[in-house]
Amino acid sequence: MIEARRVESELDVESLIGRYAGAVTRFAAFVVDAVLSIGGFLVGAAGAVWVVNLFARTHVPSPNDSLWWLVPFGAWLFVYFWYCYWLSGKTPGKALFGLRVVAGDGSDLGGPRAAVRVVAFSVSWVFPVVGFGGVVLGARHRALHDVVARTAVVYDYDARAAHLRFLGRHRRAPAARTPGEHARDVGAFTTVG
Amino acid sequence: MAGSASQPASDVERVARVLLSVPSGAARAALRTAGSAAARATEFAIEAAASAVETFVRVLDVNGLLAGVDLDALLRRVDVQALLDRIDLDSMLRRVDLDALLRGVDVNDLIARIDVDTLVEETDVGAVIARSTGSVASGAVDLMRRQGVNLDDAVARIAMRLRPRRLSTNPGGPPGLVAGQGAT
Repeated sequence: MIEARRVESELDVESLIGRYAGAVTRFAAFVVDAVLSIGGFLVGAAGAVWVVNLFARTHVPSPNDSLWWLVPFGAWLFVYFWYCYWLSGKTPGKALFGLRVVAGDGSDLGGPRAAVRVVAFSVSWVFPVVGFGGVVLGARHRALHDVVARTAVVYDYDARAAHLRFLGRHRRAPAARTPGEHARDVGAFTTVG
Repeated sequence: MAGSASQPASDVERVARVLLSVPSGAARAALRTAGSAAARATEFAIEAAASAVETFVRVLDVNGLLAGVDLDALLRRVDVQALLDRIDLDSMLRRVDLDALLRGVDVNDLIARIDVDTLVEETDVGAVIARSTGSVASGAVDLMRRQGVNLDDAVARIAMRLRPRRLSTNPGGPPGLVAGQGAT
């Protein structure tokens, strides 16, 4: 009976799909996106400058030498985030961490709403406390750009399936596990409040 | 009747008398000649029979003959199972020296002749390889997400202490995604 309860509790894990995502996961996803988008831009810009300087016999300043590069950089960031949101609601970073941006009612983002969110995202950076404070302290974990664009960020990853995969990989009888191991594994799948 | 019965007996006696009257050397020569002739006649008969059989087989249209045979009907009458039951395969295999057989096999040459690419394409080996490597990658991603959710949970608990009334109204998720589910 005790064994049955233990196994039942191990499988009693919520899926998390559709739940509002928390601050840490969202920040981690943003860091990944920042690295990918900025890194991608720098590599692409450096390659473009090298090719132009090679064939056009002129000197195009590198991104480090001219503020004019902020224009294509801003355009690139807009395209990067807007296209990803419009296509699937996920940037690479959000996909990695199992997040998705949806409309406030849970429906898919359209192109216009995605564009509004990207523009408002830059405003959130101007006022970071107001812009991002809602992610931590808000009931719906919404940032300023979420409020403006009427969007929400939700988990898009099935924690229950992940837990079952975990159990499958570590196929050990529950009785053979120490109480500490059991508590760690089961506690790892609690939901965000 | 008695006279007719005694007639053959008298003939035999007469022949015996003739033979006894012939000198013994001549009798032996005559017998040898007769035996030799009989042997030659026998050999000739055997050779003639063999030649006749050979000629017959040559002339015979075996293909035509077989075309007229209903092999299906013939084979239907054969009890193959019974035939197989009569074969002692275990005993037969015990007599096979597998070690000697395998010593004669060039395993390296055999493996070199295997088209691994085709094997991977036409079997599930590729899927197994992809699944094993994919499970490692997905395990790492699952672990990372799990840690992220744990930290989200920790931050949410701290925020709950700061604004308990506000955060207790958390609907969980957008209505279209978590309809009917309460706050967590």
